[in-house]
This record gives sequence, C-alpha cells and structure tokens, in this order.
Amino acid sequence: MIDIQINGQTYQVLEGASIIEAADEHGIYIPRFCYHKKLSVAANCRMCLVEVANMKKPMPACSTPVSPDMVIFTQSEKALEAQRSVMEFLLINHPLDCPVCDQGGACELQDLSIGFGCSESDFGGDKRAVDKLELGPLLQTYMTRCIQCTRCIRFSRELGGLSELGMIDRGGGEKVSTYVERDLQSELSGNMIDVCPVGALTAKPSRFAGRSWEYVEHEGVAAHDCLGSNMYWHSSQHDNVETREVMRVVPKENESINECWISDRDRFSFEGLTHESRLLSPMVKHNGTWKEASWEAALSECADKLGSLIDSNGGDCLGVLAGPQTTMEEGFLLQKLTRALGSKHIDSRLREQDFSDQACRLPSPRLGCQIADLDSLDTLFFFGCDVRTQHPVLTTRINPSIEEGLSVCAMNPMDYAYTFPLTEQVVAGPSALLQQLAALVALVAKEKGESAVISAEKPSAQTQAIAKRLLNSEKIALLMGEHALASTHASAFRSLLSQLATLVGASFGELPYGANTVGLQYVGCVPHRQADGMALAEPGLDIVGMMEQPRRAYVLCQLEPESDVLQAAKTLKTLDEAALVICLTAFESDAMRQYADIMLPVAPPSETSGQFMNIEGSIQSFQAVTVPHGDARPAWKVLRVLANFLKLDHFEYRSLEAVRNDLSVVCESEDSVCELPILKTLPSLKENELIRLAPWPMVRSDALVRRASSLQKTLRAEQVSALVNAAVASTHGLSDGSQVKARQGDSEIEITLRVDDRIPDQCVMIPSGLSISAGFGSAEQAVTLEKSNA
Amino acid sequence: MLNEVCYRVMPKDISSWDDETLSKEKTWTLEAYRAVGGYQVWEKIIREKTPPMDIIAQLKQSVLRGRGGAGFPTGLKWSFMPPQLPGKGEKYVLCNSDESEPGTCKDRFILSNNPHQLLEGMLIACYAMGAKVGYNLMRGEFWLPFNRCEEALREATEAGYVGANILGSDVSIALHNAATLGAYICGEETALMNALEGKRPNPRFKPPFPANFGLWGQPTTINNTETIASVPVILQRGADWFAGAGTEKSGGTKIFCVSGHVNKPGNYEIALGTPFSELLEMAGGMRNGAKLKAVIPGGSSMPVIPGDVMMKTNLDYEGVMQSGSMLGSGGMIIMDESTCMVAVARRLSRFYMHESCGQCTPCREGSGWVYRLMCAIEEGRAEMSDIDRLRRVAKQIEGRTICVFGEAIAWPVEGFLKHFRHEFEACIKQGPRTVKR
Ligand SMILES: Cc1cc2nc3c(=O)[nH]c(=O)nc-3n(C[C@H](O)[C@H](O)[C@H](O)COP(=O)(O)O)c2cc1C
Ligand code: SF4
Ligand code: FES
Repeated sequence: MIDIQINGQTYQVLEGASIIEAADEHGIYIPRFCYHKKLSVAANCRMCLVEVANMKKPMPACSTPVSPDMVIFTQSEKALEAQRSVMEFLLINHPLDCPVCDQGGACELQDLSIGFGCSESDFGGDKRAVDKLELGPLLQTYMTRCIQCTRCIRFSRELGGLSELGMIDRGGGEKVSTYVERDLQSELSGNMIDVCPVGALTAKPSRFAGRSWEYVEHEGVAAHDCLGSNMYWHSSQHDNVETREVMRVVPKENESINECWISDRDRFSFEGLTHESRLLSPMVKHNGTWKEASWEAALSECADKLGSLIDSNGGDCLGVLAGPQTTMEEGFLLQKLTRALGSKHIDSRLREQDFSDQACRLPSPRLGCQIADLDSLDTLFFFGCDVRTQHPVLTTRINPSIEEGLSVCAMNPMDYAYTFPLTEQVVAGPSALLQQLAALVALVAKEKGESAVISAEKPSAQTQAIAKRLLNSEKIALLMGEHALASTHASAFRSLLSQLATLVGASFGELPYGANTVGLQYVGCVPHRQADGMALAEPGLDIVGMMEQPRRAYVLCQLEPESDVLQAAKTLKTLDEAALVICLTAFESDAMRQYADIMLPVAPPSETSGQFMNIEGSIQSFQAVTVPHGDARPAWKVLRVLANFLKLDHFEYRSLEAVRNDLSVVCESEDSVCELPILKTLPSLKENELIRLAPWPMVRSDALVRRASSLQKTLRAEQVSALVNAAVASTHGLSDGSQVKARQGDSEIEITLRVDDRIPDQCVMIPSGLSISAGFGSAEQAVTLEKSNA
Repeated sequence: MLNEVCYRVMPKDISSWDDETLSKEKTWTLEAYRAVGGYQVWEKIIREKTPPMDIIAQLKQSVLRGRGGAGFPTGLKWSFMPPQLPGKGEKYVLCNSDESEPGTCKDRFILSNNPHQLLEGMLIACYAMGAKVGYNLMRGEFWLPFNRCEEALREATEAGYVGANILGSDVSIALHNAATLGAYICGEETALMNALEGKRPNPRFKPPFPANFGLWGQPTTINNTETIASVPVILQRGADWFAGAGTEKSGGTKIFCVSGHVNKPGNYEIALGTPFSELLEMAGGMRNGAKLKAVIPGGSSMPVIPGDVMMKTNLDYEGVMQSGSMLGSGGMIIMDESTCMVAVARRLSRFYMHESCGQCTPCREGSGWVYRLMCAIEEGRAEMSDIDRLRRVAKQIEGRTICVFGEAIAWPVEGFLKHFRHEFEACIKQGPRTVKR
C-alpha cells in the first residue's frame, strides 16, 4: 500500500494500481469510456485525463500507475478542460439521435455529455455515417454511433475467446468489423451490448420495447445452467402488476459467480415466456379430446384418478420426474407428496443413465472447488464436457486465464470447438475414452509409485502427455461434464476420475446440466435419498428403472420428456401406455397432448419465487417478477393444493416461507459423504457399434429456451445435422449433405448428414432437444445409419 | 565536412550523386564497404571482447542524439536496457527504417547505398545491449532498399559477421530484415513493434516503456536508421572526433534532406551547427533566384520557420529550437515566395488526417476537424472565427493522445498561424488563391 493524494485528500492505495482503479476503490469517479475493469486497458478514449502534479500533460487515469505521494486532481481546471475537449471531439461525429436510440437513458456518452458537453456545437461539418454491421439474430448494430472505444473487441478477444471483432481502416474512418461479414458465433455475444457504452450495439430481441427509465429492475438467478449466474429481469409497467411483462434481461454483478457476464441463453430466453404454446389454463383429456378446466375441476380430477390408482395398486404405482427449473421448494413438496402417497420412485437426474454408484455419491453434485478458483489454476482437466455451450460463463474465466499460464487438457467424445486452446486432448468414442482414462490413471499411479489400481491398455501419446501435465502441476481441477454424466459408463468414469484426483492432489467435481439439478437432488428428488440426505435402505426406481418397469401413473414437473431425457423413445412409449400422466408445465406440446391426461399450467422462473442451488452449493433465492400468465400458478402452490385435494397431512403451507422453513430444517443434517468405489476392472466394452453422441445445443436445453425465437435463429447447420467423420461416412456409403435414416430399435428419424472430422470413429453425433430429434431413441447408445430412400 | 559518417561509402562530390555513379561504384557491396574500413570496429570488438559498458560510454561521450525525430541521447537510451537476467527471455534491438515523414528521405539512402554500415551498427547495438536478435524494419514501399539489405545480410552472414559464433567467438547475434505494410504511423516506435508482431500498428500507451516491455513484451531498444548507422564510424574515429564535429549539445554530423524550391535538392550530411545559409548554398540556392519564404526544418510535423529567421539559424538541436521549431528528422522543406501557406497547411493536415491510426479520440476526430477547417479557409468558405477555432482544436489535440502524432497535427497548425496568420485571414476575406503561384 502506498499513499497518494486525490483532490487534496490522502488515500492508501494498492501499489501497481492505475489511478482510475485507485480512485474507483475510494468512490471517486473519473469519467471513462474505453476503460472497463474486466478488460485490458486500451487508453484510447482519453476521457479519463486528470491532472497530476509535476506533469505537464494531463495523464490518462486508466493507464497511469500510481506512485508514492502522487498528487492527483480529477476536477481541476486543467483536468476538466481536457475532459471537456475529449467530450467535444467524441460528440462532433456522434449522431444526435438519442430520442430514437435504444441506449437513450442508459448511455454512458449521454450521461457524461450532460456533465461535460456543451449545449451548442462548434462543429459545422457533416457528421460521419457508418454502415451497419450484420452480426446475426441477437445484436443489432448502429455503427454510426460507435465511439471506437474497442470494448466489444476486447471482450470478444479476451473473455469471449473468439476475436470475432476487430478494427479496420484508420483515422476518422476507423471502424469495428468482423472483416468478413458473418454472424457472431459466441455464446456470450450479448455481453458486448453491455460493454458498449453507447447505442452502437443493441439487443435485437429487446430493442425499442421500452425505455430504461420505464423499466423496473428485479434481481434474478439465471435458469439454464448450474452456475447460478446473477441477473436482473427488467419489467415494464411498474404501476400495474397485472400487466407487467419481462422486457429484457441483463447481468447482475456477482464477483464469485458470473462477475458481470451472462450467457446469451440466460439473456434472451425470456422471449420464450410469451410463446404461443404457453399453457394458460388447466386442461383435461376425456376420450382423447382436450378441454379447458377450472383449477378446482382439474385438481379434483387429478386427486380422484391418482387416488383411485393408488388405492387399488398401492403407492408403488406412481413415478415422479422433476425438471431442473423446478425450485428447491417445489422439489421439496414434490418428493414429500410422492413419499406421502407411498411411492419411492422419484428422480430429477434427467440426463443420466448409469446410477450404479448412487449410494456412494455426494447427496448432490459439486464442482469440487469454487467457481472463482478457476481463475488461479495451473491445469484444468475436462472429461466429457462441452463447457463452451453448456456453461458458457465459465469460459469467461478460462479464456483470460490462458494468458496467465493456465493449461487446459481434455478427454472428450468429440473435438469440441472450445474458445481456448487445449494443451493436450484425447478425442475418442465412449469405450476408447474409458480405456484411455483407465490408462491415464494407471500411468499416473505408476509414476506416483502407487500399486496399479487398474489394468489398462497402453496409454496413447496424448494420454501420456496429459499424465505428464497433471504430474507437473500444482493446482489442478478435474471436471466431469454433461457428456460423461450421460454416458452408460458414468460410474466407471467417476470412479477413475476420483482416483486420479486423489493421486495428483486435484479437486474433482461435476458439471451437470440444468439450473437446479443440484438443488433437486439436495432436497431429495432422487429415489435413494430422502430430503435430509439420508440414504434409503431400499431405494426406489430411478428414471431408467421407472421406464423399464412401467408405473401406472406419472407426475411430471416442468419437463418435456420427448426433448429432455436421455432415453426419449422408451420414456414416451411408457408414458403413452400409463393409465395416468399429470404434467405440471408452463408449456404444452403436441407430444405432451399425446401422453398426458391432465396438464396443469405452472409458472416459469420469472413468474414464481423460490430458490436454486448452484454447483458450488450456494442457495440463491429469487422473487417472481410478474404474475403468472393466464391461469398458471407457481408449482409449489399447485403441489400444495393437490396434496390437500389428496387429503394428505402436513401440507398446510400458507406461504413459500413456510415451505422454506420446513425445507431448511430437514436439510440441516450434514451431507453424508462416502468414498466412491474403486474401479478395479473395466466394464466389458462392445466394439464395432456406432454410438450416438447426443449433446443438447445451447439453445435447445430446456422448454423455455427452446421457445425463445431469436436464440433459435442462431442454430447453425452443423448443430441440426447428424455428424460423422469421413471414415465412418465412407464405410456407410454416405456423403456430406445426404439424407440419412438413423435407427435405434423401432425409433427412427431422418436427418441431414454432415461429414465432420471432429467426431471420432464409431460415433455419430445426433443432437438432442431438436424438433427433429424429439422422442428419438436413446442418447449414448448404439444406433444404425443408412441412406434414406427419399 | 561532408558525407563522412553515414554516407562515407559514397562519392564526396555531391554533384556526381546520380544513380549512374552509384551503380558503377556498387557502394552497397561488402567489398565497397570493407574498402572504407567497414566491419573493422566489429572485428575489433569481437577480438578484444570490448566490455559493452565501454561502447555505451563512448556513445555518451560522442553526444550522438537520436536521428528519428526526438533527438534523444543515444548512449543514455542504450543504458536503459535492463541487464540480462537468467530466465527472462530475449532482448531486442529494432532499427526504425520506416521513414515516412514528409520531407524526409535520408534513411532510404543509407539502406540502399550503405546497408553494411547499418548492419554493423545493429550488431554493435545488439552486442552493447546484450540482445541476441535485431530487426531492421523498413516501410513496405522500400523495394530496392529492402533487397539491398537482404543481399547485404546474406553477404555479412557468409563472411561470418552475423549469426552463430560470430568470427569464431562465442557471440551469436541474429539479424532480420522485415517490412511493414506501409503507413506513416508504423514509424512510431511502439506501432512498429505491433507491426512486427503482426498486429494492427497502433501505437501503445506508455508506460510500460519499450526498454521494459517492448517487442513481444521483452526489453527492446529502438533507434532510427541514421542513428544506428552512425555508430561504427563514431567508434572507429573516436567519440571525441564525432562530438567535435558538432556543437556541445549536438554531436557529430547529421543528414539534411533538402527538398522544395532549391536548385539541387538532395541529402547533405554536414556537421551539426552549420548555418542554414551554408546548407542552402550547397543545395544550389533558391530556384530561379526566388526569395526564401519559409522552411519546415525537421520533417512535416515541425512548425514552419519564416525565411528570414531561418537564414540566421544554425542547424543544431538548440539552434532550431531557438528559432521556434525542432530539428526533427532533418527534412528541410524549402518554400519560396510563390508558396501559399494556407495551401501547404491544408495539404499537410490532409496527410495527418489520412495517417492517424484512429485509436485515440482527439487525434481521430481532431485531425479531420482541422482538415475541414483548413479546407473551408483555403476555399474562402470560412469565417474569421474559424482561425481561432482552428488554433483551439489543434491545442485540444496536443498533449492528450497516446503517441506524439497528436503533436504532429498540432504543431504545424500552430506554426503556420503564428507566422502566416495574415494569409489565412486574406483567404477568408478575399477568397481563395490570394497568393500567386
Ligand atoms: C507518428 C510518428 C512517426 C514516426 N516515424 C518515424 C520514422 O519513420 N522513422 C524513425 O526513425 N522514427 C520515427 N518516429 C520516431 C520514433 O518513434 C522513435 O522516436 C525513433 O525511432 C527513435 O529513434 P532515435 O532515438 O534513434 O531517434 C516517429 C514517431 C512518430 C510519433
Ligand atoms: S495520437 Fe493518433 S496516431 Fe497516435 S495513437 Fe492516437 S490516434 Fe493513433
Ligand atoms: S478511460 Fe482512460 S483513455 Fe479511455
């Protein structure tokens, strides 16, 4: 710490800080445009000029380091004069179109021009006009308004990791450009809208819908991945709660989670809230025809049908599934209701299919370290994880850390298009991946002088390189991603990874899909533990078991099985054959009209209050922003009243707080931790099959984003096609662009094939969650391909 | 004293400086350079393992100042390079051969006609500062100079002066020629580094300074071609000889690029401190016996000086400063009575508008504003108040930018307005073309 003087006051500041950092730290505002605390310093706008004693020229506060006893004036005549002249220069070519600019009212240039600008212009000429840049469905540009601060460029390069924007031309003609016109590919592109200090980059989906000052800001938690990014919902019409609507979403700073970034999915999914397929009133199906019903009627029908099925078959005939936007309170009530009805069959692990080690796993998944720890690692090892599309915000920590020396290794089922370079990578189909992981563990064990825990094949050169890297790093995190979790070998992966973590002294964690997958497991929405985390001696059926041993009745809370589960075909078939399917859902679909018997409209995240637990184990609560659309109700209320209709005891909750109280009492008991079983032999592996990789594209991950129209337009051809490498294509006699039939059992779809050498042998990638793949087959299992006759 | 340093390989008689003489003599070959004593200094340094500090001390003593424009003492600059620390990676020496300042055409002459001396200078610079790699970065348009430098580098490598284990010693220095894609701003030292790194050649903000964080983030020293090419002769003939040639604060000789309304425009390497009038005489005097009106003494970024003042000015850093301008790169633009100062100012401001890299606001926006005001004035569309506006805008650019390009826009404007305001007023009052051409 050193002493400096700002405007006559002495302050203690960090040595090595810039003047602007030091001033910000003490709440002294220095005007700025190009400076952004999360981006590299560019020092190009010159708005932050301040006077420094003994310096002839005014100094840029953002790029001038403080020195002991420095004397700084931020408001002296010299400083103000410099700031005013910069403002004048900025305004001579800036259009005076604030009244029609979407940024109006939230514009850094507008704000500062009130402080530093003149009301009259001394500039007589014509202003510069710049062509629009076409950046795709999410960003609308008005490049005439650009003030060349390069924040967007720096974001895209440093945090987005893609360098999608740069400057072309020079002098007054300098402009931001993609060089070759093309849409942005980043999953984080919306953040450029936020960093842009003016209205040059605006949000296509939400622009012109209203003015910032008309909006009310509501704190929220992003509902699409397990990070729990903090955000604000902006709503309109604050004086009338009934007609309030969500107008846009912006990030809320949380240094330990999302810093100041959110993914495009978190930002633009709100468009789905008003989708025409919103279920607006309870619906019941009689003899194949759907009719609207009152809540009273619908719930009593639920209670009657469910009650009588249970009466005659026992509680065991009920299976319950919860989707990851179900809040902790809702999950708590759901499992309580299930268990009160005498069923043990509840699950929320929609995208897993190997539960053989569930008794030994943590009560709910964890990252193994804090999110912020990713900033200071030596080595990060991803196993089966497309972090870029599944947890985009994490890459804002990884991309800049590469510069600081972070090395990232990965073993993946395909060469994911990461936004950061990989030091080492193994790409292999699921079986070979297991072989190589085992080989890695064996090799590391040998190097560490431990007796061989597993006999494995010979490690590949890349596996050896990964071993070397892990053995030579201090701070290591191992992360098991959504692909590995979804695999039929998941428990073997988990066992090997945890052995590896112990051997190299790394943290080990998981990155499951969904906003509250963690919280739902925590509150007992799993068949093997109750709400307090206690293991059940006799677990109920998991999601796979529930489909293999069909139940007579199902309750589905906030999921669309056709697009949300791994074994879609089998699930749909089982549901079709069940006597009763009750869906608590915000949206309806054609498939749902098929298998469901009663549809109860529940509130999506912005219309309900509740809590999500993120992958660090932090519980974050949020309040409803608007009233539910139509007759929809928060799911917790629906569950509570349903329980009343079913005449169950202990469901007299008057408020959400009451539920929360109950939940916290139950959850207080310690997480029971146990050791994962040590895998000694590899499960037998089938060769020569074509395995289906089935990732969910970012914008197809849940019912809400699937209905967000602008995000849908970002889907690229390769995200809606079947991908195989050239070798697989030729052995199957297929070529790029041909139509193929993919078949799993009696489930089949037609899809365009593309040849893509990022896919390993023995694999075909057929994305999940698409409308064409809805209800198709099973993920991560064998599939056959043949040329379509059509 | 004429052409004894950077142009020592060339004929002394300036009148015979035409392409034909030069190509007959092939001054750029190793053979020609050796004939004037070339590479003797380098051989001696290698042989005697001269301590680097001695070389730097001699340079300080020679009072050699940077010839790229700012006139910074070279010995002092070299002493800023941090000592080689283990594990700290490379250090670099850069030669700034981007020469793009209007009025300046001296470096291309060294590059094409005396490239070996530049190479020898770079080797000595690398040796003195402990750099193992040196780059000579030329502007993209330098086709002939580039080829000559490449050829010279090949010859010098074959002769064992450059490369690994130079002349059998344990000294290894790699030199490279490189070219920018041609923009004035590439000559700014940090822009040059970005250009060499393959980036957009935007100047970098300072601190950090190149001596600590230069090319690829490593300690780097950058000097002008003429500065570096002077070094071998200084060491050969002694620091005192060099210092003695010039004045107390401006040691040695300097090349002046005389252009404009003179009879014999060209490069003249003369002792610093020589009266301008003598240089004018060497250049054959004013064309058609016309009267000298004004001189831009140091390349187009320096303020203009009226002819009568200039005739009393001695050509050294202090002398030109006293007359209200700067010696800069030594580009002397000589203008006679027929010159319209408004037109000159307008044309120069167009250059600066066109060459601004565009990153910082005052330069990007101000350069265009200055040009527009200049046009309005020249074309008789302006009002009197525009003159003050012009001065104000120029003042608002100066001292607020990342690199001194901002000054390069502002200083000429200030110079023209200071000495020739009446011509600007006349344009406004009486319309364009007040001055007969
Ligand atoms: C806009 C601009 C252009 C410049 N162009 C050149 C150039 O073409 N050649 C050059 O040697 N120095 C040029 N300079 C000066 C260099 O930045 C630097 O000061 C010089 O190369 C240092 O060498 P010296 O110490 O030997 O003079 C330029 C500076 C600026 C601001
Ligand atoms: S002063 Fe001009 S040329 Fe220099 S960095 Fe700024 S914009 Fe670029
Ligand atoms: S904020 Fe310092 S120059 Fe832009």
